[in-house]
Amino acid sequence: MQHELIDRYIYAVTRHLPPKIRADVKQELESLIFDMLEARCGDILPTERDIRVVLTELGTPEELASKYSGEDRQSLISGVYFIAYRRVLRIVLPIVVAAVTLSVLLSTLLDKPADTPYFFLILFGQTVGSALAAGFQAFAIVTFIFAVLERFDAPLGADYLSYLPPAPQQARRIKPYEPIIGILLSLFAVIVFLGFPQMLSVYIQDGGWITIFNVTVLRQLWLPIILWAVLGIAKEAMKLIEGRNTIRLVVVSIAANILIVIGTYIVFIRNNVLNPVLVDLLSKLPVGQASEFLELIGSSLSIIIFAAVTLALLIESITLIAQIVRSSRL
Amino acid sequence: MPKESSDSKTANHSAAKPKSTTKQELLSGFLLELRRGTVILCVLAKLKQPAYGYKLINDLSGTGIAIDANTLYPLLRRLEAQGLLTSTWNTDGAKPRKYYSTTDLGNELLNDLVRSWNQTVEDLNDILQEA
Repeated sequence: MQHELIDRYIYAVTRHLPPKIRADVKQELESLIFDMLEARCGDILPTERDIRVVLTELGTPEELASKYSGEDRQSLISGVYFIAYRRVLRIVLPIVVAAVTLSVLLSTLLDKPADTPYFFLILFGQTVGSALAAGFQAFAIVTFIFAVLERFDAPLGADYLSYLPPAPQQARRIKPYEPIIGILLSLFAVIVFLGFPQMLSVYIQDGGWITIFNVTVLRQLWLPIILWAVLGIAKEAMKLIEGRNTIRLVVVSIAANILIVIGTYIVFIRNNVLNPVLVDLLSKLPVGQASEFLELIGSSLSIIIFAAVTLALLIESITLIAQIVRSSRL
Repeated sequence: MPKESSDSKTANHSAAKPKSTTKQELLSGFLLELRRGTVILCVLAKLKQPAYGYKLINDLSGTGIAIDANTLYPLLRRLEAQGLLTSTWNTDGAKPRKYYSTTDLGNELLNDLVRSWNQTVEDLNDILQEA
């Protein structure tokens, strides 16, 4: 029983199958459809309508092909891989989009003066365009990585028992937005410090706009500044991964904080990164009674910044330890 | 990859909105689940005598077990790939037909399956009689 519709149907099924089984499945389906038609029509020649009924009974070609290819591996990323994939995307996408938006916004604002009436339209277009492109790229890369992981059955957290979270009342849960904001702040800081230090300026009556930092020295110190940001991001990423305050998190955070203090020392004390013009002006400002105080600030601004950073990190470390001690008593 | 914190949240979320299902739909869903595992048992048992796919469908439906061709044919092929069935093309008739039969491995597996099936039936009956 040869019929064009049957041929088309069988072709539509087998084209989705591995080449080596195509011929066999084709023959088998021909034989099956022949039997089904015979059961339906007996000795009478089947009409087009009979063929349609029989083929409809077999289901759509895609459905049949998917049953022949096996039930598993129907999707690019499935099961535990999908759960991890979704989680990674939720963290990566906002960070990538925010970082790209920020850097495009800043570079456009600072590099091109607003001499065209459509400046803000162009700015808007560029920013949205770049953010979308970066978002799609990050999406594609993450998707690709997880598709590969799934194909090779890469173990995702095989030791899941060790990773079971403690019951909620035993440790303070860290809300995901806290570390994400922390990561964004670190990115923002490193983009501004290294890319656009001229943004950080103060207005002084006789001197006009003066940058706070010595841009040349700042740029020479790119390595400690980047390490500084990486440590900050690593700390926040650890919070995101742990999801709660753990002893491991406290140890890592304190270690990172010590390194950050050392970095701050290198940047502010070893290399005087502040703009000497500003320090000079600050100490010479004629502001009446306050001048002595301001002079002190001007001459020791580096030490003040270093002390502030150290104090803030010390407070953070003590808070983390206190929380752990408190939660272990519960 | 470390533990997944949003797992429980999403699971609760999907459980929180139940689908409106009629009793009939629920029943046919449960029956489908019940039957799913038993089809392999039927196929391995029936194919101790070689048969082609369509004949198997008719034989089974004659004993009250309905199975669709689009489920059985791929299943036969899968069981063959797993070494539980073997097949030969018979070209004697008007149309060539692929005859499947259970292999030794398939028979061994079938014996184990039957034993465990009987045990399950026994256990289930105990539970159902207690209830």
